[in-house]
Amino acid sequence: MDASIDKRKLVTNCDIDDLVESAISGNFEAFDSIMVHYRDRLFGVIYNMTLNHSDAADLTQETFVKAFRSISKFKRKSSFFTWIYRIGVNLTLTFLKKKRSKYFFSFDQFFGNTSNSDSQLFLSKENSSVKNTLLNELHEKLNEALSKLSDKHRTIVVLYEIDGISHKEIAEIMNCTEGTVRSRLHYAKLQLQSLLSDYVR
Amino acid sequence: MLDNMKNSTEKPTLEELFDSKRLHQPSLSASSKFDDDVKIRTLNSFHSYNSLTTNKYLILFTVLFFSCIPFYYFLLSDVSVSNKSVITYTEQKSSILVEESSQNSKLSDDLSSSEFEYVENSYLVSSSTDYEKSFALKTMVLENDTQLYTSISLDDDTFNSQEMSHNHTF
Repeated sequence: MDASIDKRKLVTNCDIDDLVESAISGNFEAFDSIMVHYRDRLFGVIYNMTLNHSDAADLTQETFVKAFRSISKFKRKSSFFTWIYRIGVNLTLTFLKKKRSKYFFSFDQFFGNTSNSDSQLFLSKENSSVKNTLLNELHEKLNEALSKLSDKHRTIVVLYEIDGISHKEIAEIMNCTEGTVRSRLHYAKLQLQSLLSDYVR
Repeated sequence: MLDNMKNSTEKPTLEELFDSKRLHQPSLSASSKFDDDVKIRTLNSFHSYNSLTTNKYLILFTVLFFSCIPFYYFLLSDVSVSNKSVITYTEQKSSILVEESSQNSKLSDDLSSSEFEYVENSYLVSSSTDYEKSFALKTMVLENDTQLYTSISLDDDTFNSQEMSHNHTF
């Protein structure tokens, strides 16, 4: 088993506060543990926002670098999770804004980095390889549809529907009201439903 | 394969598609290089940030220091020039006043009169008001012709001119 996975298992939510305290006082080891704890989840969010593996990896790294550099400015007004997500989301939105003119979505490496275990498949009659192929194609269609949304609408869909973050936390991360989050989410889902009408009911 | 789904009745819902995607999130766990890259980038950014901060303050200090030198010399020269002009002006004005006072015969006579005794004050003079107070008349004998020094504006019937003249005579 990977050493980083062991380390992540040791870190619980209660430990995070202690680790943050330790990281604020300049302990890089503590920050390393925090990074391992949030790394994959943050990468997932950023990947679904950019839909590009290398860009997502780069932005995730940048998020942690920026977070460590400015961790002394963390005032504990919000949770550390919200704070670091906010850095990541803001960096990604800025990146997308800059890159918009020449942006194209590549779905590279996505399927090479996914684990197919424990998937809750809806097409249970099909055999495994057919299921996977169909699933991959459906995910590709979903990514295509997501790419047609605005950056902010896509971010909210990714944070709420895929990452499972609450409306309140999304409002904190995106610096807007809960009402705005609900409204944008509703609008985005209507758009997605329309774009994927051939493939979803 | 998806084309066959278009007419299928077993289409997933949008929520199911999201659930499926959640379970297939890409992972960085396999990439051990990621952690090393983050550490290197963090340390590099710290190094460059500290160097940038140090350099920034050094440059700022140097610029301020060199810009202050001409300003300092300018201030010095300006102060010396203004002091010289004040001294010259005061000297000229004083000599003019002395010349004018010597032409006033009445004032000269009064100053040379033996009836006035001047007493030099012993306290330190620090301002112009004090300087005026530093001399005082010890004795003074009033005579009839001292009315010459009274003010014309006091020529009113309701006033006792003699009394007023006493009040306004030095």
